[in-house]
Amino acid sequence: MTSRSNRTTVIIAHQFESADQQLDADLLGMWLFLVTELLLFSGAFLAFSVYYHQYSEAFSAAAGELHWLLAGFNTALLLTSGLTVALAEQAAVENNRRATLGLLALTIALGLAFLALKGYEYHSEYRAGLIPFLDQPFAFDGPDPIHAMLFYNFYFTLTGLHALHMIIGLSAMGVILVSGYRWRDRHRVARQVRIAGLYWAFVDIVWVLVYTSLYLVGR
Amino acid sequence: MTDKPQANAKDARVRRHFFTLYLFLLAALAINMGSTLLDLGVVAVPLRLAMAALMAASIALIFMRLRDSAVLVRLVAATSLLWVVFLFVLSFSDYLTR
Repeated sequence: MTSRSNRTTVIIAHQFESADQQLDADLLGMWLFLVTELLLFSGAFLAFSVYYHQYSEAFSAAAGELHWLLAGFNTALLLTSGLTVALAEQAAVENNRRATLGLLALTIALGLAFLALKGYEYHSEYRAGLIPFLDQPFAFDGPDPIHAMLFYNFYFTLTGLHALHMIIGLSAMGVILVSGYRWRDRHRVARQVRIAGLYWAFVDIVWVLVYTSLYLVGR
Repeated sequence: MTDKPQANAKDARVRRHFFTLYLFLLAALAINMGSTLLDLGVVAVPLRLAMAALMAASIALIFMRLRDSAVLVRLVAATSLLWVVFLFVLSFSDYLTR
């Protein structure tokens, strides 16, 4: 269904009666998807918690080798990107094209900065011989290296899975930035930014839990 | 003209909530990081996890607008938490009692 009002075209998929109904359906669909994502990460966190409980000494020693200050700065970057995407959502609701696109671009830049710093962390761990795969000798010299290796498996799995989600979120926001540039249907852009913002906030939540569990709990 | 930016008092309030939450999140992060420099004994782990849970809940309520969402969406979010609680409580009731 297409309705025109005051030079703005509102395009609604044929199965919906109104733009509000379409937004409600989109939000519910995204939340249901995020529930499945939450359960995916919860399984990994549960396994980590059980092993942390069993091998806390080895896990704490392994956590002590991580760049917790750099990762803390990275956490602040990601929280800032959470603010910018929330502000972009609000700017889109207010029909402020310039602010919406600018804040989306800033969110993408902050997300890329996060990934670059994460890449630097991975590189330094590779140099230190702390990667328990890639056919590299595991060079951890603390107590119980076997279970420290288990910690690093969790570390790379959880942070890698999180980084993958970030890349997906950044790609989605990049598409919205390009497709929304001409601002033909502001309601559609606002809806897309809201959905992408939900996903991005979830990525923020996961990182807060990853950072606390891996970097801080054992320290 | 409707194609001009349209902001009102409610929008300004929403933005203020976002900035307040952001400052809270940075403060909570600083407290969590700072707590690693202190010897807090047995309360250290519960304190850091509680702080992280508080940060996560705040992001869900305000950045994800759960507070203002439809009842069905809030129900979905609450139910998902219930499943996570089942997952952890049932698993740990096994591991902690072996």
